[in-house]
Amino acid sequence: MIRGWNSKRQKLVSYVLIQLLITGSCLASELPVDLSKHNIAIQSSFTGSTVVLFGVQTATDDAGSNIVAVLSGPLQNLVVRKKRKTVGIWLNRSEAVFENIPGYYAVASTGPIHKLLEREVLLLYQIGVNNVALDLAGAIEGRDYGPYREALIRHKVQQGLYFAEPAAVDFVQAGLFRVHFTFPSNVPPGTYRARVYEIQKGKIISEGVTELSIRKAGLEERIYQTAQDSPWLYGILAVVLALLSGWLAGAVFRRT
Amino acid sequence: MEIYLPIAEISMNIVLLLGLGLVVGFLSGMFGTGGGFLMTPLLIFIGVPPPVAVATEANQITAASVSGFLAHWRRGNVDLRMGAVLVVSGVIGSGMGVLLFRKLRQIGQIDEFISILFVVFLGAVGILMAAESGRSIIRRWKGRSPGRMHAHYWVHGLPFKMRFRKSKLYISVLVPAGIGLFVGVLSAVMGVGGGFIMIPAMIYILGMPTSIVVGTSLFQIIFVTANSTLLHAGTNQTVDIILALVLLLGAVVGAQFGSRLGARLRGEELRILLAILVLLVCAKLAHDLLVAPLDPYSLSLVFG
Repeated sequence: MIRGWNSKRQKLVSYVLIQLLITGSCLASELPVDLSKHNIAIQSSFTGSTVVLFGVQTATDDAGSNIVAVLSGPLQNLVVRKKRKTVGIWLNRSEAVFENIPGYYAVASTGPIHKLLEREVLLLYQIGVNNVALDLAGAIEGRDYGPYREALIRHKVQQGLYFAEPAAVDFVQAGLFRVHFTFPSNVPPGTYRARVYEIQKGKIISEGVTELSIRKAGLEERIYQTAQDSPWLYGILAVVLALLSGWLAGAVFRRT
Repeated sequence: MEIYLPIAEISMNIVLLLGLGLVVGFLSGMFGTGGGFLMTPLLIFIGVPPPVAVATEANQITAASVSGFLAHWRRGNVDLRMGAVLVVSGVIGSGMGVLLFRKLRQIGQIDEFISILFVVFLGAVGILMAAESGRSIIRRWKGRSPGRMHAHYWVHGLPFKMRFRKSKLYISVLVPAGIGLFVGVLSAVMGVGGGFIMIPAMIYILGMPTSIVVGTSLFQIIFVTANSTLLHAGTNQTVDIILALVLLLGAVVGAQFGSRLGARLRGEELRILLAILVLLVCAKLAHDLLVAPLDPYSLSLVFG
């Protein structure tokens, strides 16, 4: 099911490009959007966060327009493993490696997305949790990767990092819309990109992009960076800290 | 109240973590063990990724062992010569253990491997402890005194003999070196001090006097877990010092109360209680390995 995804997407890209060239609507106009904040700091008391996306519809005619917003997080390489019973024990026996998969993915829309846009467009722009491009690293000919792909999305949804259903787009007043996105405490740090599309009669008439940075900050950032950048120094510090605190604990309780 | 763990990259309830440290510290104070063999599986049960649980527990055990070791050192209950042999072989063993750990993590088998090791060793130690303390309780009821423990086995006939004055032993250096190596590997892979294997091995295989067994074992554990911590941090970046400090804080306080209560209880009853606890954790891990999982698929970040 996943096999041929790349070539399928390439065909789609050329199909859509040709369509756009013919209709001459290549340049969708700009949709004004912004986020309530562009930086989220992960510190010791971090339990998750929310961000509000704002935007203004450009369509002013009576027909109105629909809004679809996608917020996706830093790319990750992920492995899905499958357990099978092996001499009585459930062990990981097979795996599929996926490359450059968004660590976080959320969609909001004013209506069911498959009614707003063609399936080809949804796939091309990766709109909708089932339309995220899940590219395999080293796929084996003839193997069915469907269950692995479903498992990836299922686990991401369970972790609160993907959302099975699109969120609501609220209208604050005529033309001004608002979307709430939530992040759990296990949100992967990195750069997040919000893409917002304004749709009229199945066509994207304007789009807007804005970014969000989620970073560890303060002591948490220092600890994480030291562990990553100078792991041996971190190891020595961890040991020294353990020796000191162990000695201190012994000394404190010997007096009492 | 939640606290964000920067290496595990999750936030956890700080009361839960302190409570866990307190309870395991209490039990380890009461039974005179390091507690790693309970703490590591419990951390995995509450959702800490197994590689982080193992490496962080190594770090916490270093700290917990220091205060215990100092107390034994002051009483002169440490055989430094024996300790040195165990440390050298243990450090080599833990280096091998970290390499094995890394390899297993790359091929995606580490979680189950850790569980299987815990099931095997917790099961064996739990059953042996229950049987042994059960026998001595029965013996006490019948009013018989226990027989002499120290005996000579085939291990005492091996070459490269060395004298250990403090332990009153003249044995092949290969025996303690082999034990140290084996416990070192287990320590690094399982995130334990290894006292629950080292202490019986010292008493029953080496024939060391029981008075110096715990102090010498703690001496070895400090170096071996420090080495595991350093290597896990250096190669896998899985040591979470925030988690280690929170657990240590709970464990230090718990151990004080535990050791006071432990001094008032009888050894056999204590060991039966510990055996039951060990077997419960073992049963839970065995259950997870043997019963069909709700979801046979799992998701993780590509490692290495």
